[in-house]
Amino acid sequence: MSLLVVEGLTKSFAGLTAVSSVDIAVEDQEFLGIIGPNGAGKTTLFSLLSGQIAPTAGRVVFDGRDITGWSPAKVASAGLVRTFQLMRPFESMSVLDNVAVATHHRHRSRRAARLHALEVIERVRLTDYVHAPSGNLPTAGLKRLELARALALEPRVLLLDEVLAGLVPAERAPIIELLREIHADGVTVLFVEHIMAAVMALSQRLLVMAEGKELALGDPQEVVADPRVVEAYLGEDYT
Amino acid sequence: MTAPTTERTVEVRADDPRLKDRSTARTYVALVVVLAVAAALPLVMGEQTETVAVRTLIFAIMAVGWNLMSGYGGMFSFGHAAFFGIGAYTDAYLLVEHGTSPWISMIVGAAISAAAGTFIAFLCLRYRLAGAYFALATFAFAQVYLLAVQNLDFLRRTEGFNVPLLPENSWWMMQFEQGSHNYYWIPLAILGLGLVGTVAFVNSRQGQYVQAVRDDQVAAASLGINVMRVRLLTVALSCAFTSLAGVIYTQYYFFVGPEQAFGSAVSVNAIVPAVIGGIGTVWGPVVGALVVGPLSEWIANVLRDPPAFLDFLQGVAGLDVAVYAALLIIIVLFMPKGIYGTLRDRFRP
Repeated sequence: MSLLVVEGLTKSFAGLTAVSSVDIAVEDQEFLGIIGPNGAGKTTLFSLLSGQIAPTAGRVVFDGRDITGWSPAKVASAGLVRTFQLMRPFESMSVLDNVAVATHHRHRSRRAARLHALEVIERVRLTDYVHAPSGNLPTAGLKRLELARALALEPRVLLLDEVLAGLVPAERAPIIELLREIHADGVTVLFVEHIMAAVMALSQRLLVMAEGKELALGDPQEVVADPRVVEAYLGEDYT
Repeated sequence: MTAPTTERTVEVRADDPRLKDRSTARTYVALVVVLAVAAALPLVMGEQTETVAVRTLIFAIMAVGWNLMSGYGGMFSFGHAAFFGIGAYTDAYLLVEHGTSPWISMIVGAAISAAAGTFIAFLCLRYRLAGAYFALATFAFAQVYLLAVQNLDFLRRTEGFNVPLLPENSWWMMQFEQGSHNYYWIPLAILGLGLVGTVAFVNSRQGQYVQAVRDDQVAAASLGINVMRVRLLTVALSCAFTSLAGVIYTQYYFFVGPEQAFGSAVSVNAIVPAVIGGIGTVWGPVVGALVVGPLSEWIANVLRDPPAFLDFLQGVAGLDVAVYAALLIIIVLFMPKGIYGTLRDRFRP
Protein backbone atom coordinates (compact mmCIF):
# COMPACT_ATOMS: atom_id res chain seq x y z
CA MET A 1 0.00 0.00 0.00
CA SER A 2 1.13 3.54 -0.73
CA LEU A 3 2.69 5.52 2.11
CA LEU A 4 0.39 8.50 1.76
CA VAL A 5 -3.10 8.14 0.29
CA VAL A 6 -5.36 11.09 -0.31
CA GLU A 7 -8.98 10.35 -1.20
CA GLY A 8 -11.54 12.87 -2.40
CA LEU A 9 -9.88 15.63 -0.41
CA THR A 10 -11.94 18.82 -0.60
CA LYS A 11 -11.75 22.18 1.11
CA SER A 12 -14.33 24.91 0.58
CA PHE A 13 -14.07 28.39 2.02
CA ALA A 14 -17.32 30.36 1.92
CA GLY A 15 -18.22 29.84 -1.72
CA LEU A 16 -14.72 29.09 -2.97
CA THR A 17 -13.49 25.54 -3.41
CA ALA A 18 -9.74 25.75 -2.90
CA VAL A 19 -9.14 22.02 -3.16
CA SER A 20 -11.67 19.91 -4.99
CA SER A 21 -11.81 16.12 -4.56
CA VAL A 22 -8.12 15.45 -5.01
CA ASP A 23 -6.94 11.82 -5.09
CA ILE A 24 -3.25 11.02 -4.84
CA ALA A 25 -1.28 7.96 -3.80
CA VAL A 26 2.31 8.75 -2.90
CA GLU A 27 4.68 5.80 -2.77
CA ASP A 28 7.29 5.30 -0.09
CA GLN A 29 10.53 7.14 -0.94
CA GLU A 30 8.96 8.86 -3.92
CA PHE A 31 9.83 12.41 -4.98
CA LEU A 32 6.59 14.01 -6.17
CA GLY A 33 6.72 17.45 -7.75
CA ILE A 34 3.63 19.62 -7.55
CA ILE A 35 3.17 22.60 -9.85
CA GLY A 36 0.32 24.84 -10.86
CA PRO A 37 -0.63 28.50 -11.18
CA ASN A 38 -1.06 30.68 -8.12
CA GLY A 39 -4.34 29.89 -6.40
CA ALA A 40 -4.36 26.32 -7.70
CA GLY A 41 -4.63 24.99 -4.15
CA LYS A 42 -1.09 23.68 -3.63
CA THR A 43 -0.49 25.33 -0.27
CA THR A 44 -4.04 24.55 0.85
CA LEU A 45 -3.36 20.91 -0.01
CA PHE A 46 -0.29 20.98 2.26
CA SER A 47 -2.29 22.63 5.04
CA LEU A 48 -4.90 19.87 4.74
CA LEU A 49 -2.30 17.10 4.78
CA SER A 50 -0.48 18.52 7.78
CA GLY A 51 -3.61 19.25 9.81
CA GLN A 52 -3.47 23.06 9.87
CA ILE A 53 -6.96 23.14 8.39
CA ALA A 54 -9.66 20.49 8.42
CA PRO A 55 -11.02 19.22 5.10
CA THR A 56 -14.64 19.72 4.08
CA ALA A 57 -14.67 16.19 2.70
CA GLY A 58 -12.33 13.31 1.96
CA ARG A 59 -9.60 11.65 3.96
CA VAL A 60 -5.86 11.32 4.35
CA VAL A 61 -4.26 7.98 5.16
CA PHE A 62 -0.62 8.00 6.20
CA ASP A 63 1.26 4.75 6.71
CA GLY A 64 -2.00 2.85 7.04
CA ARG A 65 -3.52 5.22 9.59
CA ASP A 66 -6.38 7.60 8.87
CA ILE A 67 -4.95 10.96 10.00
CA THR A 68 -7.83 13.12 8.80
CA GLY A 69 -8.66 15.69 11.45
CA TRP A 70 -5.49 15.12 13.48
CA SER A 71 -3.87 18.18 15.01
CA PRO A 72 -0.76 19.56 13.26
CA ALA A 73 1.36 18.51 16.25
CA LYS A 74 0.12 14.93 16.05
CA VAL A 75 0.62 14.72 12.31
CA ALA A 76 4.17 16.08 12.62
CA SER A 77 4.94 13.65 15.44
CA ALA A 78 3.73 10.80 13.24
CA GLY A 79 6.39 11.72 10.67
CA LEU A 80 4.61 13.97 8.16
CA VAL A 81 6.35 17.33 8.38
CA ARG A 82 5.87 20.51 6.36
CA THR A 83 7.84 23.68 5.75
CA PHE A 84 6.29 27.09 5.15
CA GLN A 85 6.58 29.17 2.02
CA LEU A 86 6.80 32.31 4.17
CA MET A 87 9.51 31.41 6.63
CA ARG A 88 8.44 31.25 10.25
CA PRO A 89 11.52 31.32 12.49
CA PHE A 90 11.24 31.58 16.28
CA GLU A 91 12.69 35.06 16.22
CA SER A 92 13.75 35.37 19.83
CA MET A 93 15.95 32.29 19.48
CA SER A 94 19.29 31.57 17.89
CA VAL A 95 19.49 29.30 14.87
CA LEU A 96 20.77 26.52 17.14
CA ASP A 97 17.81 26.80 19.52
CA ASN A 98 15.34 27.01 16.64
CA VAL A 99 16.51 23.63 15.43
CA ALA A 100 16.81 22.30 18.98
CA VAL A 101 13.06 22.93 19.43
CA ALA A 102 12.59 20.22 16.81
CA THR A 103 15.27 17.86 18.11
CA HIS A 104 13.81 18.14 21.62
CA HIS A 105 11.13 15.89 20.23
CA ARG A 106 13.57 13.03 20.69
CA HIS A 107 15.71 14.38 23.50
CA ARG A 108 14.53 15.53 26.88
CA SER A 109 17.86 17.12 27.83
CA ARG A 110 18.75 20.48 26.35
CA ARG A 111 22.31 19.36 25.85
CA ALA A 112 21.40 16.33 23.76
CA ALA A 113 18.85 18.34 21.78
CA ARG A 114 21.43 21.01 20.96
CA LEU A 115 24.05 18.44 20.03
CA HIS A 116 21.67 16.79 17.61
CA ALA A 117 20.55 20.22 16.33
CA LEU A 118 24.15 21.14 15.58
CA GLU A 119 24.48 18.02 13.43
CA VAL A 120 21.42 19.01 11.43
CA ILE A 121 22.76 22.56 11.07
CA GLU A 122 26.04 21.19 9.75
CA ARG A 123 24.10 19.12 7.33
CA VAL A 124 22.13 22.02 5.83
CA ARG A 125 25.33 24.08 5.94
CA LEU A 126 24.12 26.84 8.19
CA THR A 127 27.28 26.44 10.22
CA ASP A 128 28.25 30.11 10.05
CA TYR A 129 25.02 31.13 11.75
CA VAL A 130 24.82 28.70 14.67
CA HIS A 131 24.50 31.39 17.34
CA ALA A 132 22.98 34.13 15.18
CA PRO A 133 19.53 35.37 16.17
CA SER A 134 17.23 33.75 13.65
CA GLY A 135 15.48 37.06 12.97
CA ASN A 136 18.68 38.40 11.42
CA LEU A 137 19.16 35.67 8.82
CA PRO A 138 19.07 36.49 5.12
CA THR A 139 16.36 34.81 3.04
CA ALA A 140 18.61 31.97 1.92
CA GLY A 141 19.48 31.29 5.56
CA LEU A 142 15.84 31.30 6.63
CA LYS A 143 15.01 28.80 3.89
CA ARG A 144 17.74 26.50 5.17
CA LEU A 145 16.49 27.00 8.71
CA GLU A 146 12.97 25.96 7.68
CA LEU A 147 14.48 22.87 6.10
CA ALA A 148 16.72 22.17 9.09
CA ARG A 149 13.83 22.29 11.57
CA ALA A 150 11.76 19.96 9.44
CA LEU A 151 14.67 17.55 8.92
CA ALA A 152 15.45 17.61 12.62
CA LEU A 153 12.17 15.78 13.26
CA GLU A 154 13.50 12.91 11.10
CA PRO A 155 10.34 12.81 9.01
CA ARG A 156 9.23 10.02 6.72
CA VAL A 157 7.42 12.49 4.50
CA LEU A 158 8.52 16.07 3.89
CA LEU A 159 6.11 18.62 2.43
CA LEU A 160 8.27 21.38 0.97
CA ASP A 161 6.42 24.56 0.07
CA GLU A 162 8.52 26.67 -2.29
CA VAL A 163 11.84 26.25 -0.51
CA LEU A 164 13.58 27.82 -3.50
CA ALA A 165 11.36 30.89 -3.87
CA GLY A 166 13.18 34.15 -3.27
CA LEU A 167 16.62 32.65 -3.84
CA VAL A 168 18.98 33.71 -6.60
CA PRO A 169 20.15 30.87 -8.89
CA ALA A 170 23.52 30.60 -7.16
CA GLU A 171 21.74 29.98 -3.87
CA ARG A 172 19.39 27.41 -5.38
CA ALA A 173 21.97 24.90 -6.57
CA PRO A 174 23.22 23.83 -3.11
CA ILE A 175 19.66 23.48 -1.83
CA ILE A 176 18.71 21.35 -4.81
CA GLU A 177 21.75 19.19 -4.07
CA LEU A 178 20.67 18.95 -0.44
CA LEU A 179 17.14 17.89 -1.44
CA ARG A 180 18.63 15.19 -3.62
CA GLU A 181 20.60 13.92 -0.63
CA ILE A 182 17.58 13.98 1.64
CA HIS A 183 15.60 11.99 -0.89
CA ALA A 184 18.45 9.55 -1.41
CA ASP A 185 18.47 8.95 2.33
CA GLY A 186 14.96 7.55 2.08
CA VAL A 187 12.68 10.50 2.81
CA THR A 188 9.51 10.77 0.75
CA VAL A 189 9.18 14.30 -0.60
CA LEU A 190 6.23 16.34 -1.86
CA PHE A 191 7.73 19.34 -3.58
CA VAL A 192 5.66 22.41 -4.42
CA GLU A 193 7.78 24.71 -6.56
CA HIS A 194 7.69 27.22 -9.40
CA ILE A 195 11.32 26.84 -10.46
CA MET A 196 10.79 24.34 -13.27
CA ALA A 197 14.46 23.42 -13.66
CA ALA A 198 14.49 22.17 -10.08
CA VAL A 199 11.14 20.43 -10.42
CA MET A 200 12.30 18.59 -13.52
CA ALA A 201 15.68 17.72 -12.05
CA LEU A 202 14.27 16.18 -8.89
CA SER A 203 10.74 14.87 -9.49
CA GLN A 204 10.03 11.23 -10.24
CA ARG A 205 6.38 12.02 -10.86
CA LEU A 206 4.74 15.36 -11.42
CA LEU A 207 1.30 16.53 -10.29
CA VAL A 208 -0.19 19.60 -11.94
CA MET A 209 -2.98 21.36 -10.08
CA ALA A 210 -5.33 24.01 -11.45
CA GLU A 211 -8.38 25.49 -9.78
CA GLY A 212 -8.14 23.06 -6.90
CA LYS A 213 -8.17 19.96 -9.08
CA GLU A 214 -5.66 17.53 -10.47
CA LEU A 215 -4.98 18.57 -14.05
CA ALA A 216 -2.33 15.97 -14.83
CA LEU A 217 -0.25 13.41 -12.98
CA GLY A 218 2.53 11.19 -14.21
CA ASP A 219 6.00 11.12 -15.71
CA PRO A 220 7.40 14.68 -15.58
CA GLN A 221 8.50 14.75 -19.22
CA GLU A 222 5.13 13.57 -20.46
CA VAL A 223 3.21 15.87 -18.13
CA VAL A 224 4.99 19.05 -19.24
CA ALA A 225 4.32 18.12 -22.85
CA ASP A 226 0.60 17.84 -22.16
CA PRO A 227 -1.15 20.68 -24.05
CA ARG A 228 -3.57 21.27 -21.14
CA VAL A 229 -0.62 21.81 -18.78
CA VAL A 230 1.07 24.13 -21.23
CA GLU A 231 -2.10 26.16 -21.53
CA ALA A 232 -2.94 26.29 -17.84
CA TYR A 233 0.47 26.91 -16.39
CA LEU A 234 3.62 26.69 -18.42
CA GLY A 235 2.71 28.89 -21.37
CA GLU A 236 3.65 28.34 -25.00
CA ASP A 237 7.30 29.25 -24.48
CA TYR A 238 8.16 26.32 -22.29
CA THR A 239 9.94 23.55 -24.08
CA MET B 1 11.42 2.66 11.74
CA THR B 2 15.01 3.61 11.18
CA ALA B 3 15.92 7.24 11.11
CA PRO B 4 16.72 7.76 7.46
CA THR B 5 18.19 11.23 7.74
CA THR B 6 21.02 10.40 10.08
CA GLU B 7 23.16 8.61 7.50
CA ARG B 8 24.87 11.66 6.14
CA THR B 9 24.82 13.48 9.43
CA VAL B 10 28.07 15.11 10.35
CA GLU B 11 29.29 13.78 13.66
CA VAL B 12 29.45 16.52 16.27
CA ARG B 13 31.44 15.78 19.39
CA ALA B 14 29.69 16.17 22.70
CA ASP B 15 32.39 18.59 23.86
CA ASP B 16 32.04 20.84 20.81
CA PRO B 17 32.72 24.37 22.10
CA ARG B 18 29.71 25.71 20.22
CA LEU B 19 27.46 23.77 22.60
CA LYS B 20 28.77 25.55 25.68
CA ASP B 21 26.01 27.62 27.20
CA ARG B 22 28.04 30.33 28.91
CA SER B 23 25.20 32.78 29.40
CA THR B 24 23.14 30.33 31.46
CA ALA B 25 26.17 29.42 33.55
CA ARG B 26 26.87 33.13 34.10
CA THR B 27 23.26 33.71 35.14
CA TYR B 28 23.46 31.00 37.80
CA VAL B 29 26.70 32.46 39.17
CA ALA B 30 25.20 35.96 39.22
CA LEU B 31 22.14 34.58 41.02
CA VAL B 32 24.24 33.04 43.77
CA VAL B 33 26.22 36.26 44.23
CA VAL B 34 23.18 38.54 44.24
CA LEU B 35 21.25 36.32 46.65
CA ALA B 36 24.24 36.07 48.99
CA VAL B 37 24.63 39.85 49.05
CA ALA B 38 20.88 40.33 49.50
CA ALA B 39 20.87 37.84 52.37
CA ALA B 40 23.51 39.88 54.20
CA LEU B 41 21.67 43.20 53.80
CA PRO B 42 19.47 43.03 56.96
CA LEU B 43 22.66 43.15 59.02
CA VAL B 44 23.25 46.70 57.78
CA MET B 45 19.69 47.87 57.02
CA GLY B 46 17.59 49.90 59.41
CA GLU B 47 14.18 48.60 60.46
CA GLN B 48 12.39 51.14 58.27
CA THR B 49 14.43 50.13 55.21
CA GLU B 50 13.75 46.49 55.92
CA THR B 51 9.99 47.09 55.73
CA VAL B 52 10.51 48.56 52.27
CA ALA B 53 12.73 45.62 51.36
CA VAL B 54 10.03 43.10 52.31
CA ARG B 55 7.50 45.03 50.26
CA THR B 56 9.97 44.97 47.35
CA LEU B 57 10.43 41.21 47.71
CA ILE B 58 6.67 40.65 47.58
CA PHE B 59 6.51 42.72 44.38
CA ALA B 60 9.41 40.74 42.94
CA ILE B 61 7.85 37.35 43.70
CA MET B 62 4.58 38.35 42.04
CA ALA B 63 6.40 39.74 39.03
CA VAL B 64 8.63 36.67 38.64
CA GLY B 65 5.48 34.53 38.57
CA TRP B 66 3.71 36.86 36.16
CA ASN B 67 6.76 36.95 33.89
CA LEU B 68 6.73 33.17 33.35
CA MET B 69 3.32 33.20 31.77
CA SER B 70 3.23 36.69 30.26
CA GLY B 71 6.89 37.22 29.41
CA TYR B 72 8.16 33.80 28.38
CA GLY B 73 4.74 32.39 27.56
CA GLY B 74 3.45 35.45 25.71
CA MET B 75 0.04 35.21 27.43
CA PHE B 76 -0.46 38.65 28.95
CA SER B 77 -2.26 38.31 32.27
CA PHE B 78 -4.05 41.32 33.64
CA GLY B 79 -5.57 39.25 36.43
CA HIS B 80 -2.71 37.97 38.56
CA ALA B 81 -4.49 39.43 41.60
CA ALA B 82 -6.59 36.28 41.38
CA PHE B 83 -3.60 34.10 42.22
CA PHE B 84 -2.01 36.45 44.74
CA GLY B 85 -5.44 36.60 46.37
CA ILE B 86 -5.89 32.84 46.40
CA GLY B 87 -2.55 32.52 48.20
CA ALA B 88 -3.37 35.26 50.69
CA TYR B 89 -6.85 33.96 51.43
CA THR B 90 -5.89 30.30 51.57
CA ASP B 91 -3.34 31.19 54.21
CA ALA B 92 -5.68 33.50 56.14
CA TYR B 93 -8.60 31.08 56.06
CA LEU B 94 -6.67 27.94 56.97
CA LEU B 95 -4.75 29.75 59.69
CA VAL B 96 -7.71 31.46 61.32
CA GLU B 97 -10.23 28.66 60.97
CA HIS B 98 -8.02 25.59 61.28
CA GLY B 99 -4.70 26.76 62.73
CA THR B 100 -2.86 25.42 59.70
CA SER B 101 0.81 26.24 59.17
CA PRO B 102 1.52 28.83 56.43
CA TRP B 103 3.98 26.36 54.90
CA ILE B 104 1.09 23.96 54.32
CA SER B 105 -1.01 26.87 53.06
CA MET B 106 1.67 27.67 50.51
CA ILE B 107 1.31 24.20 49.03
CA VAL B 108 -2.49 24.26 49.17
CA GLY B 109 -2.68 27.83 47.81
CA ALA B 110 -0.24 27.06 45.01
CA ALA B 111 -2.26 24.00 44.02
CA ILE B 112 -5.55 25.92 44.01
CA SER B 113 -3.96 28.78 42.06
CA ALA B 114 -2.48 26.43 39.49
CA ALA B 115 -5.87 24.75 39.04
CA ALA B 116 -7.74 28.07 38.82
CA GLY B 117 -5.21 29.55 36.40
CA THR B 118 -5.21 26.48 34.21
CA PHE B 119 -9.00 26.55 34.07
CA ILE B 120 -9.10 30.25 33.07
CA ALA B 121 -6.32 29.86 30.53
CA PHE B 122 -7.90 26.75 29.06
CA LEU B 123 -11.15 28.61 28.42
CA CYS B 124 -9.32 31.62 26.96
CA LEU B 125 -7.09 29.53 24.70
CA ARG B 126 -9.83 27.11 23.74
CA TYR B 127 -11.82 30.05 22.38
CA ARG B 128 -8.69 31.52 20.84
CA LEU B 129 -8.49 34.70 22.86
CA ALA B 130 -5.16 36.40 22.34
CA GLY B 131 -3.48 39.70 23.13
CA ALA B 132 -5.80 42.32 24.60
CA TYR B 133 -8.75 39.92 24.66
CA PHE B 134 -6.80 37.36 26.67
CA ALA B 135 -5.69 40.11 29.08
CA LEU B 136 -9.26 41.36 29.50
CA ALA B 137 -10.56 37.87 30.15
CA THR B 138 -8.01 37.30 32.90
CA PHE B 139 -8.95 40.69 34.36
CA ALA B 140 -12.61 39.70 34.34
CA PHE B 141 -11.90 36.44 36.14
CA ALA B 142 -9.95 38.27 38.85
CA GLN B 143 -12.89 40.63 39.32
CA VAL B 144 -15.21 37.64 39.63
CA TYR B 145 -13.03 36.28 42.44
CA LEU B 146 -13.10 39.69 44.15
CA LEU B 147 -16.89 39.78 44.03
CA ALA B 148 -17.14 36.17 45.12
CA VAL B 149 -14.96 36.78 48.19
CA GLN B 150 -16.95 39.89 49.08
CA ASN B 151 -20.11 37.83 49.05
CA LEU B 152 -19.03 34.61 50.70
CA ASP B 153 -19.76 34.31 54.40
CA PHE B 154 -17.07 31.74 55.09
CA LEU B 155 -14.50 34.20 53.69
CA ARG B 156 -15.98 36.96 55.91
CA ARG B 157 -17.17 39.10 52.99
CA THR B 158 -15.66 42.60 53.05
CA GLU B 159 -14.39 42.24 56.59
CA GLY B 160 -11.24 40.27 55.80
CA PHE B 161 -9.10 38.17 58.14
CA ASN B 162 -6.82 39.22 60.98
CA VAL B 163 -3.96 36.86 61.70
CA PRO B 164 -4.00 35.95 65.40
CA LEU B 165 -0.80 36.90 67.22
CA LEU B 166 1.16 34.14 68.90
CA PRO B 167 2.89 34.65 72.25
CA GLU B 168 6.21 33.25 70.96
CA ASN B 169 8.32 32.96 67.80
CA SER B 170 7.44 30.00 65.60
CA TRP B 171 9.03 28.88 62.33
CA TRP B 172 6.22 26.42 61.84
CA MET B 173 3.60 29.18 62.06
CA MET B 174 5.91 31.69 60.32
CA GLN B 175 5.51 34.25 63.05
CA PHE B 176 8.36 36.18 64.66
CA GLU B 177 8.82 39.21 66.88
CA GLN B 178 8.44 42.54 65.12
CA GLY B 179 11.52 43.48 63.11
CA SER B 180 12.78 39.91 62.86
CA HIS B 181 15.03 39.39 59.84
CA ASN B 182 13.20 36.14 59.17
CA TYR B 183 10.43 38.23 57.62
CA TYR B 184 12.99 39.29 55.05
CA TRP B 185 14.87 36.04 54.60
CA ILE B 186 11.82 33.88 53.96
CA PRO B 187 10.55 35.87 50.94
CA LEU B 188 14.15 36.27 49.76
CA ALA B 189 14.56 32.49 49.76
CA ILE B 190 11.28 32.11 47.86
CA LEU B 191 12.38 34.72 45.33
CA GLY B 192 15.70 32.91 44.92
CA LEU B 193 13.85 29.67 44.33
CA GLY B 194 11.69 31.43 41.73
CA LEU B 195 14.68 32.87 39.90
CA VAL B 196 16.59 29.59 39.84
CA GLY B 197 13.34 27.92 38.78
CA THR B 198 12.88 30.46 35.99
CA VAL B 199 16.36 29.85 34.58
CA ALA B 200 15.91 26.09 34.82
CA PHE B 201 12.46 26.21 33.21
CA VAL B 202 13.48 28.55 30.40
CA ASN B 203 16.32 26.17 29.53
CA SER B 204 14.23 23.01 29.76
CA ARG B 205 12.41 21.30 26.95
CA GLN B 206 9.00 22.64 27.95
CA GLY B 207 10.46 26.12 28.50
CA GLN B 208 11.94 26.12 25.00
CA TYR B 209 8.64 24.87 23.62
CA VAL B 210 6.59 27.63 25.22
CA GLN B 211 8.95 30.30 23.88
CA ALA B 212 8.69 28.76 20.43
CA VAL B 213 4.90 28.86 20.74
CA ARG B 214 5.08 32.51 21.82
CA ASP B 215 7.20 33.37 18.78
CA ASP B 216 5.13 31.45 16.24
CA GLN B 217 2.31 29.19 17.29
CA VAL B 218 1.69 27.70 13.83
CA ALA B 219 5.34 26.84 13.25
CA ALA B 220 5.61 25.34 16.73
CA ALA B 221 2.58 23.11 16.18
CA SER B 222 3.95 21.97 12.84
CA LEU B 223 7.08 20.79 14.68
CA GLY B 224 5.00 18.47 16.83
CA ILE B 225 4.55 20.70 19.88
CA ASN B 226 1.32 20.30 21.80
CA VAL B 227 0.60 24.02 22.04
CA MET B 228 -2.23 23.85 24.57
CA ARG B 229 -0.42 21.53 26.94
CA VAL B 230 2.80 23.50 27.16
CA ARG B 231 0.93 26.77 27.58
CA LEU B 232 -1.21 25.41 30.40
CA LEU B 233 1.86 24.02 32.13
CA THR B 234 3.47 27.47 32.02
CA VAL B 235 0.30 29.11 33.32
CA ALA B 236 0.13 26.63 36.20
CA LEU B 237 3.73 27.37 37.24
CA SER B 238 3.16 31.11 36.96
CA CYS B 239 -0.03 31.14 39.02
CA ALA B 240 1.32 28.76 41.66
CA PHE B 241 4.40 30.90 42.22
CA THR B 242 2.52 34.19 42.37
CA SER B 243 0.25 32.74 45.06
CA LEU B 244 3.29 32.37 47.35
CA ALA B 245 3.56 36.17 47.42
CA GLY B 246 0.00 36.25 48.77
CA VAL B 247 0.89 33.93 51.66
CA ILE B 248 3.89 36.12 52.57
CA TYR B 249 1.67 39.19 52.41
CA THR B 250 -0.85 37.82 54.89
CA GLN B 251 1.89 36.61 57.23
CA TYR B 252 3.78 39.91 57.14
CA TYR B 253 0.91 42.40 57.39
CA PHE B 254 -1.27 40.24 59.71
CA PHE B 255 -4.36 41.27 57.79
CA VAL B 256 -5.90 40.61 54.42
CA GLY B 257 -9.12 41.92 52.92
CA PRO B 258 -10.70 41.50 49.49
CA GLU B 259 -9.17 44.64 47.95
CA GLN B 260 -5.65 43.95 49.24
CA ALA B 261 -5.85 40.42 47.83
CA PHE B 262 -8.00 40.53 44.71
CA GLY B 263 -8.20 44.25 43.80
CA SER B 264 -7.20 45.25 40.29
CA ALA B 265 -4.37 47.34 41.77
CA VAL B 266 -2.80 44.03 42.83
CA SER B 267 -2.78 42.83 39.23
CA VAL B 268 -1.05 46.05 38.28
CA ASN B 269 1.52 45.40 41.00
CA ALA B 270 2.43 42.11 39.34
CA ILE B 271 2.76 43.66 35.90
CA VAL B 272 4.54 46.96 36.53
CA PRO B 273 7.83 45.62 37.96
CA ALA B 274 8.21 43.14 35.11
CA VAL B 275 7.44 45.73 32.45
CA ILE B 276 9.75 48.32 33.99
CA GLY B 277 12.56 45.82 34.47
CA GLY B 278 12.12 43.88 31.25
CA ILE B 279 9.51 41.34 30.18
CA GLY B 280 10.75 37.86 29.36
CA THR B 281 14.11 38.30 31.10
CA VAL B 282 15.29 36.62 34.29
CA TRP B 283 16.38 39.83 36.03
CA GLY B 284 13.71 42.19 34.73
CA PRO B 285 11.12 41.54 37.48
CA VAL B 286 13.77 41.96 40.18
CA VAL B 287 15.16 45.21 38.74
CA GLY B 288 11.62 46.51 38.31
CA ALA B 289 10.66 45.58 41.86
CA LEU B 290 13.70 47.48 43.14
CA VAL B 291 12.22 50.58 41.49
CA VAL B 292 8.55 50.00 42.32
CA GLY B 293 8.98 48.77 45.91
CA PRO B 294 10.73 51.88 47.30
CA LEU B 295 8.61 54.11 45.07
CA SER B 296 5.35 52.73 46.43
CA GLU B 297 6.63 53.20 49.97
CA TRP B 298 7.60 56.80 49.20
CA ILE B 299 4.18 57.50 47.70
CA ALA B 300 2.46 56.01 50.72
CA ASN B 301 4.50 58.30 53.00
CA VAL B 302 3.77 61.36 50.91
CA LEU B 303 0.07 60.64 51.06
CA ARG B 304 0.12 60.00 54.79
CA ASP B 305 2.10 63.11 55.63
CA PRO B 306 2.58 65.39 52.61
CA PRO B 307 5.10 68.23 52.68
CA ALA B 308 3.55 71.72 52.79
CA PHE B 309 3.59 72.41 49.06
CA LEU B 310 1.88 69.07 48.36
CA ASP B 311 -0.72 69.26 51.11
CA PHE B 312 -3.53 69.03 48.57
CA LEU B 313 -2.54 65.36 48.28
CA GLN B 314 -3.54 64.65 51.88
CA GLY B 315 -5.76 61.60 51.83
CA VAL B 316 -5.86 61.37 48.03
CA ALA B 317 -6.12 57.76 46.94
CA GLY B 318 -4.72 56.36 43.72
CA LEU B 319 -1.64 58.55 43.43
CA ASP B 320 0.51 55.43 43.29
CA VAL B 321 -1.35 54.20 40.22
CA ALA B 322 -0.93 57.61 38.56
CA VAL B 323 2.81 57.58 39.23
CA TYR B 324 3.11 53.99 37.92
CA ALA B 325 1.27 55.03 34.78
CA ALA B 326 3.63 57.96 34.20
CA LEU B 327 6.62 55.68 34.84
CA LEU B 328 5.27 53.06 32.45
CA ILE B 329 4.81 55.63 29.70
CA ILE B 330 8.38 56.84 30.14
CA ILE B 331 9.75 53.28 30.14
CA VAL B 332 7.74 52.17 27.13
CA LEU B 333 8.80 55.27 25.19
CA PHE B 334 12.50 55.22 26.00
CA MET B 335 13.24 51.64 27.04
CA PRO B 336 10.70 49.37 25.37
CA LYS B 337 12.56 46.29 26.60
CA GLY B 338 12.62 47.56 30.18
CA ILE B 339 15.58 48.76 32.19
CA TYR B 340 17.36 45.40 32.33
CA GLY B 341 16.40 44.33 28.80
CA THR B 342 17.68 47.58 27.29
CA LEU B 343 20.95 47.55 29.21
CA ARG B 344 21.56 43.91 28.38
CA ASP B 345 21.11 44.51 24.67
CA ARG B 346 23.43 47.51 24.80
CA PHE B 347 26.27 45.61 26.44
CA ARG B 348 25.80 42.25 24.77
CA PRO B 349 28.87 41.29 22.70
